[in-house]
Amino acid sequence: MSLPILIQSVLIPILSAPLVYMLGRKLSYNVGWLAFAILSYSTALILAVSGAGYIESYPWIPGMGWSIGFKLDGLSIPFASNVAILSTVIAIYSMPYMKHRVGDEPEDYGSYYALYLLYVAGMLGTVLATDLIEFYIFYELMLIPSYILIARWGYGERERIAFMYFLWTHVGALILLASITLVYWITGTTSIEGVKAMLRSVGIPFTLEVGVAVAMIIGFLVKIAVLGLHIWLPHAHAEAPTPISALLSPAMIGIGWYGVIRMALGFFPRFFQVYSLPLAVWAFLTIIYGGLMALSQDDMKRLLAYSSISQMGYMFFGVANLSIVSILGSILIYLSHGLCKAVLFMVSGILIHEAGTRRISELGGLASRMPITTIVAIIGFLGLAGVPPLLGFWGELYIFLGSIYTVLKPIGGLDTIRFIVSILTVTSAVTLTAGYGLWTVKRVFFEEISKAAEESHEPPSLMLAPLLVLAVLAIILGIYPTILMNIVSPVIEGLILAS
Amino acid sequence: MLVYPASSLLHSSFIVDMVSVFFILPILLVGLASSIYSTSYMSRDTGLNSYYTLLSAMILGMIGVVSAGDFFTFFLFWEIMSISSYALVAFRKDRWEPVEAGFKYLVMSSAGSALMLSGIAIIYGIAGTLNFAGIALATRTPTLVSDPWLILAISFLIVGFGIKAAIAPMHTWLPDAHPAAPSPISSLLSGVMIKTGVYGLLRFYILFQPLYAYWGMTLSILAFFTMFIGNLTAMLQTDVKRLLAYSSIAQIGYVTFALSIGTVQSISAGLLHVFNHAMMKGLLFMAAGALYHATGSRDISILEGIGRRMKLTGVLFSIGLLAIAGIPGLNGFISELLIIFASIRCELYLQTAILITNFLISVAYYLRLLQRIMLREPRSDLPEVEEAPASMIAGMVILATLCVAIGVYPGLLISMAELAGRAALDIGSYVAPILGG
Repeated sequence: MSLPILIQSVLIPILSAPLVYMLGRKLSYNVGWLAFAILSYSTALILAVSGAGYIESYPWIPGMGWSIGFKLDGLSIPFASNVAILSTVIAIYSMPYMKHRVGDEPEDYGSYYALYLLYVAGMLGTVLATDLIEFYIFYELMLIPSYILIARWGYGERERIAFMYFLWTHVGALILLASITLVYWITGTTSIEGVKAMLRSVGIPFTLEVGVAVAMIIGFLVKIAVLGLHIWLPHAHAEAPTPISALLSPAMIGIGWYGVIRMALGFFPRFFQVYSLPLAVWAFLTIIYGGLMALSQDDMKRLLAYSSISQMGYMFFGVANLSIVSILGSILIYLSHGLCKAVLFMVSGILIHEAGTRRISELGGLASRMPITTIVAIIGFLGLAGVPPLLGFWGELYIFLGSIYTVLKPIGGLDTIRFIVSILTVTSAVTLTAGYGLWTVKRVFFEEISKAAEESHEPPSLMLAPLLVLAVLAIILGIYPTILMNIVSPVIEGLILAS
Repeated sequence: MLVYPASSLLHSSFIVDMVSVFFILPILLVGLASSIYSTSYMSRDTGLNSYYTLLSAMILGMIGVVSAGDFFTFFLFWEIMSISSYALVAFRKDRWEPVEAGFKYLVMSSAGSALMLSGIAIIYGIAGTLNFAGIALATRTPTLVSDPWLILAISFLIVGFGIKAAIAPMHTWLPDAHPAAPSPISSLLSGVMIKTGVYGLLRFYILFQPLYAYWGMTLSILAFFTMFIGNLTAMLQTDVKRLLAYSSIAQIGYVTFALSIGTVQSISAGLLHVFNHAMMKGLLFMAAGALYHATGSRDISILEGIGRRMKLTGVLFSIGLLAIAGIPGLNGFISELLIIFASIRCELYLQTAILITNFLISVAYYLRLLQRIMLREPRSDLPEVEEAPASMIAGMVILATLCVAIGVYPGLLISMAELAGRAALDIGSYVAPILGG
């Protein structure tokens, strides 16, 4: 049996949550350092075995043939490391932010960080799980703590919004559960690899495959919030406490795509081949919708939330095009969006903290007061827009290369409709993203100095340091993306070529 | 399987098989927890000697019911259980609400017992014996299927058990009686006593083999009716214990549905849910009781935000609510999942969809309750409250620990439930020891 490494990275945050809660009363504000230490340990474990991949398995319910396993391979490495790194640095950022939000109520820190740890453990467990039931359990474990975090420390109509968030994603999860059940009865196993092998060898009627695949994909798409299933997202992401927004949007919703690639695509390749074009069109509409809505927002966090919908559309487009290169691009976008969007949400938190507002119309001219924040925010928006040498550039490039490859693939020559969709997507996506990004930078950080800006200055270094770490990571990975590609591409090749 | 006396076609007898064990276990666990809990909850009351006597009699009655081997013994313990529970519901007899609720319960439940007794009489007329094994053999004749007397007898039994299990439309006593009873009694009533009705349905569902098809369909229709009534009405409640009472009705609907499918998987899933619901609902009623004990109110709008003052009770209450809402990692999820599995296995897609819809509706009100009790700012007129006394906490901690432990590591209980499911369907070995000697 292999060393228990990954199980520690998931279980230690869960088991230490009660401890953090109790110590919160004593340590108050400083309990954040404890959470940071715990998450650093998890992150270190994950990064330590990221090079070669790792797999562990433990018996759980032998009677039903269910086990608990944790697997880190080329597909889960980018997701797990993104979640781990973001949550670790945001744990630091949360300390000054929560001080601003709740003041000196020591009990609040304890509950906040306990829930925070559970939430992170849920996300890590989801991307490491090897069994469908285990996956579902962690998938729901993401939901409960994040729901309470929003309901308790959010803004605006926080209870109603948290409730809406819960119901939407819980309905999605139940639909997912229904599809998991069907898969279990079709194949007689819940192990992800086992199901994949069984479905490949047995073969099921196409109508049944469509039914199960649609249920499974809808289950994931609600969490991802693609157009039509996105209603909860702008509310939840805008009104959540900002550090949580910085996890919800960059880390959590993208995990839905992990589910789609690992499970839906692995189980039902035929479904994707047949419906590739409609899915690509849906992705195109999601990109446009998210981008246009982002353009029309005046609330910084709402703008970022709509921009997330648009970015998830990029990933959707990559997956829908079903080529190795485009899916690789989607995963790069997940990482790049994760780093940049976390930076931007944290910037909006800094605006709330310093200028006391997140309305873009009330801001302006902040560049002279907080130059470092301004630079980081510009890096963030450029990363979303895919400007080289940031990681986002590679993501977008690969998605579009992949889509053009799919256009040219049919033997009968050029697929005209697909070609038009791809070109439209490429041009509109880049224009829209760069448009809302740069325009926002201009309105918030430049132009004449507003009243809110006069009082502001650079935030405390605890708020600034996490931003810098992530921005530097986005640049390093952008200059040297090969590390990532070498890890990820073998798995995707296996996935696509096997179908 | 334990049979006493060994060869007993004519005696009063006990048969304890895996199914009985699966009911006895939660009865004893919730019984233990609520006795511990009672020591401080009831400390302000008078007449405690009769309280604990009645409590023990009720637990004795329930255990007797699930271990009886013939109708005489069954009915005897059934009445011991019912009569002591009437008295316990109306225990605080100086107030109007418990007396009214107790009286309503008395009238409905006695009517149920009377119908059951008539049913038993008719069955005795047909089979010539009161022994379960004997009846199972006697009713196996195919011609009996269309015998109107047998159908009448079975309808009587369904109504008798249905009233005790609070299957809609026979549920109307429950939302009055369960909130009015002292909280440890509510947790016994809702957690385990209504399950004796389920036990009756399960046992006789299988004993009368030839009538399988009728039973199954009737039960599943009743089950859906029950879950909708329970869930939709629970959404409208403003009284926390009344909400929990309606949620019990809905949960009985899930269990009845699982039984109505009638496969080993579905029956084990249903039994598992019986066990899990006993833990969760026992815990919830005790936690609601602790809030009532501290504030003197069961009104949710008054209790808003009290979880922030009574941290420990609040956390235990939340565990119960999340468990019953079917959140993964806690015990309710496992059994709900297994019920869904069992029903999809039999290709009951429509029924599964209805079931899932019901799970969803229920999540809405559990969550809203959680939100109001735990997350809201406490009302300004909320009286100063203290944390519940240690023995109340101890009673709740026992059940909460089980909720979490079973949720995290359900393997052992699932294999037990599977044994019980097999035992329930295995008439041959149920009958053998009685007739063999």
